[in-house]
Amino acid sequence: MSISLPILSIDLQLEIFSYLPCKTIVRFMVLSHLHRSLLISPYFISRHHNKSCNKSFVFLSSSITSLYKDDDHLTLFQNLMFPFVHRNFGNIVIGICNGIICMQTNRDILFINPMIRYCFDLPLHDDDDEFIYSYGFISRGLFDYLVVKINSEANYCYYDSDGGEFHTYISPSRNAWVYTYV
Amino acid sequence: MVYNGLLHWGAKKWVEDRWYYFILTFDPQSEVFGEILLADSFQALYHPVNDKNGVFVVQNSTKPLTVYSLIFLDEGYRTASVWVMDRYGITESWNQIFTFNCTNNYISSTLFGFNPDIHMHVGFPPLLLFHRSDGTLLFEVEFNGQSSLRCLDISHGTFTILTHNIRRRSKDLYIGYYYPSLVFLTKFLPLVSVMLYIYIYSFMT
Repeated sequence: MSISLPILSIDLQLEIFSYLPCKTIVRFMVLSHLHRSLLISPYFISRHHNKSCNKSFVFLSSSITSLYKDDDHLTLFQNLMFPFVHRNFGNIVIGICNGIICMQTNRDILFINPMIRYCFDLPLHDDDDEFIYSYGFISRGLFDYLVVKINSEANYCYYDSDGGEFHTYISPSRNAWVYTYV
Repeated sequence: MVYNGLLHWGAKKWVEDRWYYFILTFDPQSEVFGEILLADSFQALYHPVNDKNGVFVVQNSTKPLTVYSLIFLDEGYRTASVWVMDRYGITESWNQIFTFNCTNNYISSTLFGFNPDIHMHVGFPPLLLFHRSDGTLLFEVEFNGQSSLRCLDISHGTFTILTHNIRRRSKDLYIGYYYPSLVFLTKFLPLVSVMLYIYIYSFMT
């Protein structure tokens, strides 16, 4: 702790931090109590997010979940390390918002930020798994997320005797399920 | 699929005597659902055979709302078309920009004609995954049991292979734009012990 920080104002320090990649920020969190609380504050997170908005990468979920540069040849940029790799993700990606990947497994819905290796889940009610659900993931700002779950309505299930398949009408008004994270 | 600040799904509904495709929307601000109608020529579905037919809203960022329709006609004949909605919300502005015609043995297209390069045996058309900001379309093409990612550039008339052997763990391959962020860092706790150590250290010096 004998490293004396140059006399930079906190705001100037945060300005410098806001240009750094996510992994570097996570490392700087151990610098001091003050830095940790500043770097995890919503103020800094949105400041950092505004700086990094122009960097776009193509996310490809396959056997290796990878980021590719959005150029002519899709150059490999980075392989993402997911926390809890022992879990079977099922690999159904519902959507990506603000660097958060929303995935559906057979038991729950996972929200993963691979840059800070953070993951949390939203348990599903598995009371009627014979129905087909459609999900959507969208944000209402950096700290407010919605998962929309649309239940297929049993009354509109249509049984096709030839193919033995169920066809469902997605009901727009009923049974929609909205979860808000703040 | 998020577009224009709204969620979009390809959906179908049973009206009178047949199925109709439409796009279901959800506005997160007002929490209201809505519907976008498709062009007349591809909204009616007479005979839904399986889930591989349908209308899919395609991931994109800045391009017009893009829809990929897979329509089974008969005797293994299918069409797979890319539609864009040039003016959002205006049903008349739907524009078909590309079509594959598929039988059990070959694929032809409006752009290339018969293309022996994507000849295949499974009778299933390429799957449109992504409409990139430069206007090119990314397709997953299955050939001889192997999947490759191909980039279709309509203006230059090319259909180039980007990646071979996309081996998938599950049936769904997802491509989307990703921006690294620190969201959820506020919930990030595992550094407590390190902090405690630093705290004690500074106390002693």
